[in-house]
Amino acid sequence: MGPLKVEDDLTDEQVLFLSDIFPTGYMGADFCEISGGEVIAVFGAGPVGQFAIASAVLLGAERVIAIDQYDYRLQMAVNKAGATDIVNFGEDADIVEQLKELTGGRGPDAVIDAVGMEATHGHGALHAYDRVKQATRSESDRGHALRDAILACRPGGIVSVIGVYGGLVDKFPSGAFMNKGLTLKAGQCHVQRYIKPLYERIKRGEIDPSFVVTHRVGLDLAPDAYETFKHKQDECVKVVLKP
Amino acid sequence: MPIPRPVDSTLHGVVDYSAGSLLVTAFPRLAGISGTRAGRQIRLAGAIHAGYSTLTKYPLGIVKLIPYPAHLAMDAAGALALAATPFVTGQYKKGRSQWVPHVALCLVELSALAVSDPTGRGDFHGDVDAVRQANQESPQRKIYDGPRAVTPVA
Repeated sequence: MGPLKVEDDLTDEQVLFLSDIFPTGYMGADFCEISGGEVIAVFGAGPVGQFAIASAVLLGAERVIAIDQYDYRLQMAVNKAGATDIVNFGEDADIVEQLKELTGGRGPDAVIDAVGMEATHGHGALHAYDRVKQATRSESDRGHALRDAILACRPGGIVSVIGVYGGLVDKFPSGAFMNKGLTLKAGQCHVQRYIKPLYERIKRGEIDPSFVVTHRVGLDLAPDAYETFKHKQDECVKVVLKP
Repeated sequence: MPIPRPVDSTLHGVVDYSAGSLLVTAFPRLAGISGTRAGRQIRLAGAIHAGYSTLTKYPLGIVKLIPYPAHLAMDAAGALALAATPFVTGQYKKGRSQWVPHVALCLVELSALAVSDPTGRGDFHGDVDAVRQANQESPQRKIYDGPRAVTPVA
């Protein structure tokens, strides 16, 4: 336990993400039990999602489908993280149907939820239902990504949840989950479990984690940089603050 | 310092449908004007409000036709029209119950508009231009140019 000493000639940004988002994304892919040749779908192409996609590629997935509503994030997923297919739900909200089409009706072998409780892609009526319940404090989490992950995954597949949830989600598709015989794996990342193996991968040149950094500014712009990141302005994926 | 306008378009939509439903159903009775001309006017205003909300281009709209800024303008115009109605028709002379609810609803609506972000995003806005100018990295280069960052397992 404790800090990891970086002794090699690596830049700060190549090792910075070992403390959180890289092992988190990697754990999401690790949960999928990839042995080679699988089709993996990743909900969310933010920083954690990008690392989940890259990790699925590293572990040998044959196809990795990136799902998001921002085209620039999907382009990063393809150009840098190695995604083979994309689903832009801003153009077509029915993600489950699109995943079925991409997999010949079967569904992905495993689905990674890298979105969590602040999902924004809900379909009209269900999204309104979730927002109203959240506004009245009857529901703490928005479960669109988790619901669609369960509905899209092939029978016998794995749903890997690394997106953060905090409380209760309504309309959980328990029937689909049970009758398709899915396995659900979830958790906060066990960073110490992954940090050294991933450090070795970086040293071997298998991955350059700095690919997610789109913005590098001084500490004085921290609040503005956070707003830029939060509202996905200026094609922002990840901000690094340098004193 | 900018005035905070934290209400985004989704939350505004929640208020639209809640308020519209309330005005059509319980509000006239609660205000003691059910069955009166004032009550019918308020029910109609609520129905119209909920109706054009379903046609608004925001997350809770069903047929996304009306741009969100136009929706906000309609909210403001509708609120002022509702407040003016008792005075235009002359019904204000029949007592406070025939104009106070209209004016009160107008003030509530205008207050809601004052804290609604017309861009729909809500919350405070950062200085994106300052971040863009100070950025030591190029998002376009990081996203679109150069090789992949990951080497698949052989």
